[in-house]
Amino acid sequence: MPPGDGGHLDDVLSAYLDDELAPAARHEAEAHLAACAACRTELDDVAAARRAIRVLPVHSAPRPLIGAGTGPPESRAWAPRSGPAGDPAGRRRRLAWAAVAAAAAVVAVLLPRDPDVEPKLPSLADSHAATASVTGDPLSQLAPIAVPVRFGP
Amino acid sequence: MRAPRLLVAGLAASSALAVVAPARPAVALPGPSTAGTETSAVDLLDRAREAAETQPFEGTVAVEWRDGGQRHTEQVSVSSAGGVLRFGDEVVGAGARRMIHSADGWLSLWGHDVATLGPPPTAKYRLVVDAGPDVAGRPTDVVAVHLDGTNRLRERLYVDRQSGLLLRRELLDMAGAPYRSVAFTTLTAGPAAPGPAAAAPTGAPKAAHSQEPTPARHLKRPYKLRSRIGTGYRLLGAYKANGVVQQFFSDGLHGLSVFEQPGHLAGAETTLAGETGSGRMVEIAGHTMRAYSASVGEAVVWDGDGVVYTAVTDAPWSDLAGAVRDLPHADPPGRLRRVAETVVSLFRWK
Repeated sequence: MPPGDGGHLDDVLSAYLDDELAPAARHEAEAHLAACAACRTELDDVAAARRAIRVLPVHSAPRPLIGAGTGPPESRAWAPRSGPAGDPAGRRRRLAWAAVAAAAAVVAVLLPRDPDVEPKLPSLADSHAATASVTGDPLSQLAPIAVPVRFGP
Repeated sequence: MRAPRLLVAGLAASSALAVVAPARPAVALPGPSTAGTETSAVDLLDRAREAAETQPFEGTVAVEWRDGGQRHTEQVSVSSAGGVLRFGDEVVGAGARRMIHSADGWLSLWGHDVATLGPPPTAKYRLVVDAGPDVAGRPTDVVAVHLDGTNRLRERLYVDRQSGLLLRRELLDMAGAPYRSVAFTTLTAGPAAPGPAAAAPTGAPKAAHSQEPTPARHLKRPYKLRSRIGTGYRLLGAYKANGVVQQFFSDGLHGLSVFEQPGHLAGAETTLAGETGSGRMVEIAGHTMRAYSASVGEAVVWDGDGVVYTAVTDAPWSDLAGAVRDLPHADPPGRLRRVAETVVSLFRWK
């Protein structure tokens, strides 16, 4: 494979890296790289750029708010797939949340809850006065419960 | 609470003498000449208790109390005939039976004696007897009550020299002014008092309902019997009624009840006769709780350890606060409890 118009490999470098050259063209390219420092530098840059692209994280496109699953096929083509065939990490997160929710529901059912109590103060006050009037002075203990019991302020 | 009392027969004899004697009776009731000793003070109070149940009389009693800065006064007619003590048409005491009139008829609150003897009042108080002023136009001996070891006057009890009845009882604030009292404003006792035939309904009424508690000698968790509480209060009995446990304590002059119900405090029902009160927030032993004042005394409500406590007393507020300090309170929940409550709250509708 002949070098480019400028006497360098140029676009041939990409085909070289992708191992797409025929054997004869590959030998020719390697012979040129051995003799041309500029093409070796260019080859290193292209290879580094390709490595950088490969390590970038792959992001799913956001799920469309409307039209997903109902629009024409072309509008759904880029929507992420869900279910068993979806992103494994996302699936694990969903499972984890489901497990937490289930555990919380079990705790909510099993955790003993104290009943709500509203003490009936007038009735309890009457009971106290009745008891105290048997052991103490009946006049001063019973007279107060003969008037409407008003708790205040 | 009953310390060794005078025999009822002796009381009957002294009552009979009081009926016969035209003026100052020559009965065993101590006059000013015997004033000053604690023995005579205890005797006076014992006799007053017995006289209320055995002497015929009729009169009007004024009940006064304060809640917050407001003073309340109510008048109640009271009579005793044939061993039945009546307060208007609302309350009846006959022997150890106590009944209150409700919308559904007479409700029995209590129906048996308290067997346990309480401490003598002199274990906690210093009692001084002196000549008192006239109350309801009748001469009295007054029992001044001081906390033992202090000079502060906490209470005064005025005893009728003729009938032996307790004519006035008043609790005093720090300034020495009465803040809660029960006092006769009119009284006819002895031979002039109406007999049983004159009393509108004779005998004790029949109870249509009962909420009499039954004695509880042993309490299971979460309840716990306490033999003593607060300053000088000794347990006289524990009782159960309608899922409520009552532990009753006495210091010889006052009673203090601790009512316990399993659960979590949601509020307190204070409404009666159209009146409501939300109480006031107080802090006791570092815990905030709700306190109430009423004609019967002081009350405070709180919860802790899965139990809702309601403490009621006819004693001064300081006694109630001292007793509450000895009972469990709700501590801040631990981390695990907070996490559990947060998770559970996500699954509650409200």
